[in-house]
Amino acid sequence: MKQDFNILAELEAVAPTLAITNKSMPYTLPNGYFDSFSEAVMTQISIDNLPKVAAQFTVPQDYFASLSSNVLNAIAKEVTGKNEVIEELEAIAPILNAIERTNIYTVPETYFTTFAANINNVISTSKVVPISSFKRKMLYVAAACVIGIMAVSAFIFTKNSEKIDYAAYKQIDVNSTINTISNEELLNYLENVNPITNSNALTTIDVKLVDIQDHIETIPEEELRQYLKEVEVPVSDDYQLGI
Amino acid sequence: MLVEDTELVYQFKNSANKEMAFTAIVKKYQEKLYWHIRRMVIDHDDTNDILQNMFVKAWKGLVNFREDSQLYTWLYRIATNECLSFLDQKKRKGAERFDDHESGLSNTIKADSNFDANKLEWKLQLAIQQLPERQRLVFNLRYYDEMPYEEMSRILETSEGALKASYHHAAKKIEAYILGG
Repeated sequence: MKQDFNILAELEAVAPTLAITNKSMPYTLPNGYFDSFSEAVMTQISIDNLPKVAAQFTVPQDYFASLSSNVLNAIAKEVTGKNEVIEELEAIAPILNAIERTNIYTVPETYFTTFAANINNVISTSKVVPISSFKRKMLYVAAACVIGIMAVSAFIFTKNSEKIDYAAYKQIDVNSTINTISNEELLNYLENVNPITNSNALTTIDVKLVDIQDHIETIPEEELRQYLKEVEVPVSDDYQLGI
Repeated sequence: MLVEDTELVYQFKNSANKEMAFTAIVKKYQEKLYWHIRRMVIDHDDTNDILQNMFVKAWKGLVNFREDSQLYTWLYRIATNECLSFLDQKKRKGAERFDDHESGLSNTIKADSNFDANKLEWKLQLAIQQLPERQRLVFNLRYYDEMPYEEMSRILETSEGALKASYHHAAKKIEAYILGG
């Protein structure tokens, strides 16, 4: 403060008009300049400190030598493409070339600037909602019911359609049909066609046969005689059924 | 600086922030696609609905997008299909009400606040609406978007020869309409 006073006193002595002049700055600064200043300086520092990486990238050989001609070719191609459309129209309907190709319809102001944000809202609201577990179970039940109904229907349908006509079989005279077949054909059939006769499948089956002797012994003699009478086998009284 | 389509698709498929990549795609193509649709359906609100639907479909399908075709062509194809199905629907509704679909579109043009029957630009719009839908599409893509037939054939899945013939017929019909008053 003492120093300030000295400076002021000195100024009063040297140039008294200046001593009474307002010291405020007439210049203006951008709003918030100092709020973001430190950040700007730090950004600049970090950019300056970045390693110079440009030299690490490689460029195809002769890239820069052919760059200008490539650019010119691309431009020429674009121009030729546009000319092609105009020339074509000139040949078929020249009056259409005279009309300015501007969009004459109007679009609401800011439509295109807000569209991308709107579409993101639409997408976020139309995202797929997962089905609850109860609903999922109900779907499985419904699917099972449909499959069941189809299976039952198919069974009923095939059962009816494959009905065997036994009456037709009865009308076939098997004996006379077999008589018309030669012995050679029958032998050939038995050897080659019917695999069961040749297979050893039956011999491998372990079947315990009923002991017929034991079985007959359990039947009363009177009952046996009656049976033999019925099948017309002559039986004498001394015929020993017990063998 | 515009990012390449392949880069945007890559970011969409692989980045955690796929919304950002998709927003970039929307911003890149929204205007071109808007005008492609608007020239077909005329009304702004209908155009907006179709544009939104097509971008929602693009969002759902982009994950399976195969890069053997261009993103630009693929988006145009979705927009075109959406337009055609919208016009079909409108036509069916019109048939129920015994309206003529083409005259409906012409009426929409005439109802525009800037419509001026003496201006060639507006006459041209009326003439385009007289064309069948597919021919209108071909004419618009060639006349306004200056699209090569090769690219058009990928979008409309029609041979280049057929497209050329269609465009020629369309241009002659339009010229006759304009000259006829």
